[in-house]
Amino acid sequence: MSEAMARWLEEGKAVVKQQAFLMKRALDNTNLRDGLKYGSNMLCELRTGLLSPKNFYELYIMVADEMRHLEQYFLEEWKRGRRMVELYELVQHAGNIVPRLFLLITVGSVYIRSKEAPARDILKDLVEMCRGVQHPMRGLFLRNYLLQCARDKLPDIGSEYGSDVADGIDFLMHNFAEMNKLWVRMQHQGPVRDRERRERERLDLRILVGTNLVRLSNLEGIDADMYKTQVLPRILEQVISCKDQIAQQYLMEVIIQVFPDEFHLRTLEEFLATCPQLQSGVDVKAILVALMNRLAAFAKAEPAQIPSDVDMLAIFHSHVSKMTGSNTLELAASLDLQVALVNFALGFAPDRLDFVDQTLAVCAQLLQSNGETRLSGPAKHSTVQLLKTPLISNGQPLTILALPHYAGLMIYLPLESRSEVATLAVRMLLSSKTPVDSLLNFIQPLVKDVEEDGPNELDEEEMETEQNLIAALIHNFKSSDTDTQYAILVGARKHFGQGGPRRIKFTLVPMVVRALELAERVHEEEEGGGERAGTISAKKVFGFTLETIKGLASAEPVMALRLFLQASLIANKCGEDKIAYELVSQAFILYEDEVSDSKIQMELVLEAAGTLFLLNNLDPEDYDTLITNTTKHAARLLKKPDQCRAVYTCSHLFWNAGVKYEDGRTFQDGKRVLDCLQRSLKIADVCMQSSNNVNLFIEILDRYLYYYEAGNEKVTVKYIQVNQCSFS
Amino acid sequence: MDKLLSRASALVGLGPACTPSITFSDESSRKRVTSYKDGQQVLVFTDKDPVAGEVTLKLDPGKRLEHMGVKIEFIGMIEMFYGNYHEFTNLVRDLDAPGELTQTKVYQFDFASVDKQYDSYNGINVKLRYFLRVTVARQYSPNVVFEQDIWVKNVQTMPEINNSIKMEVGIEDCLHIEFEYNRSKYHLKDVVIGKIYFLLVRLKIKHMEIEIRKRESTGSGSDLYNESETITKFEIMDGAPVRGESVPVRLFLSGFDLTPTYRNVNNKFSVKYYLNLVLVDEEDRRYFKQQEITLWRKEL
Repeated sequence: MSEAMARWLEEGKAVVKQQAFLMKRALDNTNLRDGLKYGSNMLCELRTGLLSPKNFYELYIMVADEMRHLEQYFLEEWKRGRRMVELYELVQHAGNIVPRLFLLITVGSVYIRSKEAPARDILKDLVEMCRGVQHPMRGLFLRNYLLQCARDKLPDIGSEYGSDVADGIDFLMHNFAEMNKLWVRMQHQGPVRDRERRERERLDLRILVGTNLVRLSNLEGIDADMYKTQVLPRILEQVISCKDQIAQQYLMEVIIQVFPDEFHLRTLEEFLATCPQLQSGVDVKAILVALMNRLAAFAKAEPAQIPSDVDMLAIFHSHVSKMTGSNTLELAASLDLQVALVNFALGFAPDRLDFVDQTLAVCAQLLQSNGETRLSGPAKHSTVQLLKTPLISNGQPLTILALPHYAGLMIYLPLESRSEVATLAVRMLLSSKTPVDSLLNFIQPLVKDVEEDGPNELDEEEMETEQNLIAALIHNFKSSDTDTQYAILVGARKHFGQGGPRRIKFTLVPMVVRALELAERVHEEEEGGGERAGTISAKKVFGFTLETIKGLASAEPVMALRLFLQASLIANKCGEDKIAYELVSQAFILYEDEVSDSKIQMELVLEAAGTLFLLNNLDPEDYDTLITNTTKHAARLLKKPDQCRAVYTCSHLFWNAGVKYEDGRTFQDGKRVLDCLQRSLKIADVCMQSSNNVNLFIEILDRYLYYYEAGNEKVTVKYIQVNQCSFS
Repeated sequence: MDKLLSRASALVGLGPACTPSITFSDESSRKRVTSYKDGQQVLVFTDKDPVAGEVTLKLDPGKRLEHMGVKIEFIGMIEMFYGNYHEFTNLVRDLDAPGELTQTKVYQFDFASVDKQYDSYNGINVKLRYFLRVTVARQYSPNVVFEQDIWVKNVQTMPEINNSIKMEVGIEDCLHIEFEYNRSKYHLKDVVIGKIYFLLVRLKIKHMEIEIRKRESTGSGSDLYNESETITKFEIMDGAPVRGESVPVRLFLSGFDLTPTYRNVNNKFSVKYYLNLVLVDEEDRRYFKQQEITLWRKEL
């Protein structure tokens, strides 16, 4: 606001304040003549041409507020017996038109309340007389004042001021038409260089015009038929004939906003037929999108209200195709339209997935003819929206899996957008049951890298977040039928297997866990005997598990190794001794080939020993092979104390009451136990340079005592004494 | 002149004082208007109204007055402000034969069907008066003279032909408007209803107003003298219209000081009224079109 303008506004307000004061004082003394005089003086401030719309509005509000006192006075005059027609004439003697009309409207308002003349006639007169103000801004505010005063006095069903709603409509339409003309006219007055400012000012004033439509929508008496025949056609006629971009854009949007959905549903053809007639600068897309979104929301909220005799989808589809077919729209705009269409279709007819897919196919065509392999900018954004819409739309994200063209659209997105969509999909899907293959195809960006994308720039943390989601998803792959479950896992592994080293450590682990779970289930079914639904055997599931872990082996050997051990336990539990053997063997191969960190080696040897001790179903010979191997590795550990501990731990493997020969003998080889202990004792001896390692002897002594107690005849008192000597 | 002298003589005590006064027989039921003279209230008559009443010659007790006769005149007169008097009516009634007055005496008078076809009028350069003049003639002293004005208003019949005024005017390629007033003849409490259509607007119009103008013409031929006066300016449009707009006119005449239109009253003067439509552009240039309307009196 310029300094001069601020000053003008202040001056204007000062005058209004002063004259309003004088007016009220005169009215308090029931001096109508003076009251009108000061009132006129006050209103004369609204004749100014110096203020911008915002400042003028400020002044106008102040004046309108003061005018209520005058209105109140007129009302009292009437109660005192004054005939309203006299007052109505009296104020028309004012020489200046702006004050005169403000006064006339104020009296008119009381005149209507007095019911000395039909509201209809008074309103008609007022709206006609207001033509005298042709200055756009002053005219708009004057007519706004008229609207405000007439607000609660419009003829309408159930109104005390006349029950014929057509009169109310006529009044509002007339006022609307005039206001719109004034508003549009602003655009063409004044120098060209001020265009931008003028457009800004027009936007400031638009709500004044829109209020007419709001009032129309508030008329109780308008039903859908009347709207179709008497209201909408007249509004649209104005919209078209004004030939003004700003007005058309705004009014079309207001129509959508203010009138009820039921009306829109009945008048789609009329409304949409108007769109091609709008000025070229009008963003028809936004209008259609607004309408479709609104109807979609409505359809979702009140499906019962949808008329069955109108094929909404077809209507919109044809209009949207017409628009996208005309080649005037940018790609992003076309896509936005399709997004709205999809949204609309999903809201409107959730069962018409064919329609949605058809729309997606159109988009695919658009994108293909666009020629870019990876989208950017608004088109990218639109496509993301397009893909997200069916996901969020009706709480049934599975919908996308029934859309053959859906996944195909993904490839046009750059990686980060694909991930965005995929992440959303996974979130939506987490609680759902879903055909795994299409799903994974779809969430592919999370599952594997594709060459076209170049190197994946995700940092570890993001990757972890994403992949944790996937892991969570995997845990949701559930089927009550074991065969299906197996098929799901096989299908899933096909996808995850291609995920590259950074992903599989997140994805394959849960896969293995699930597979093992399945194996147990299958085994239980097998054990249970009787009818089995599935044909799959536990063996096969273990085979699958083995393969899966192998897949992980190169990327995460330690993890894979542990999984092997884990799996072997389950296999043992299921009585699959050969498989358990194979799994442990695989673990050893991995250990030998891939594990070089001595600390981890130590951990793994201990874990292996722990695992083997529990594999009670193994054939004793196999068992023997494995434990011998373990002991060998134990003895080869890098650090002497580790060797020592590992070896004495391994001694337990040779004293395993769980493993039995066919003839019932237990696998308890006292001699080899003693060998181990002796060996570890020897190693401990070597370690004694460091006093820290003294506990080794204690630990070893513990073993001796244990075996002595456990009845290992090879471990005699002699050894225990020797050990004691070592301390001394 | 007579009046001045009579006052002077009364002051110096010359000759016995007698104070004439007039009361009208239907005084209480008559309307009054404020006279142009001294702001006094005067009674309103119409053409056919009889002018009747009483003349009272008030004499102080114990005084006596010799006179050469008492008469009353009814005079209709047009006064020009440049000093020209013209009596168009003069009726005389003798009230008393020469004799002596010893006490207050009351005379009846009655101008039953005196012609009052013209309205009283008080303009800029011309005045039309009706008045009664009582004269007590004396032989050696100045006559005692007393005058009493009345105000004549005549109600006219509704004009039989009363067309609307419709006209298209303009400046080529600049401004074309068509205006329409619902009538050409309006009574004094009437409303001018009209409409202005804009057929072409290439001017930056700021506002538009209607003026009521009054033109008083006196004299004739080479002595014709016109005096114009703007009774009111009434804004009827704010801002600049575009082609195709129409703007309503509604002008209540009742608030203004208007008389009926007078044409060639006794060949001495005329009073005419005009509606002047004025458009003002942003450079304050004025474009106007003046149109005569006839005003008439419908009721008193």
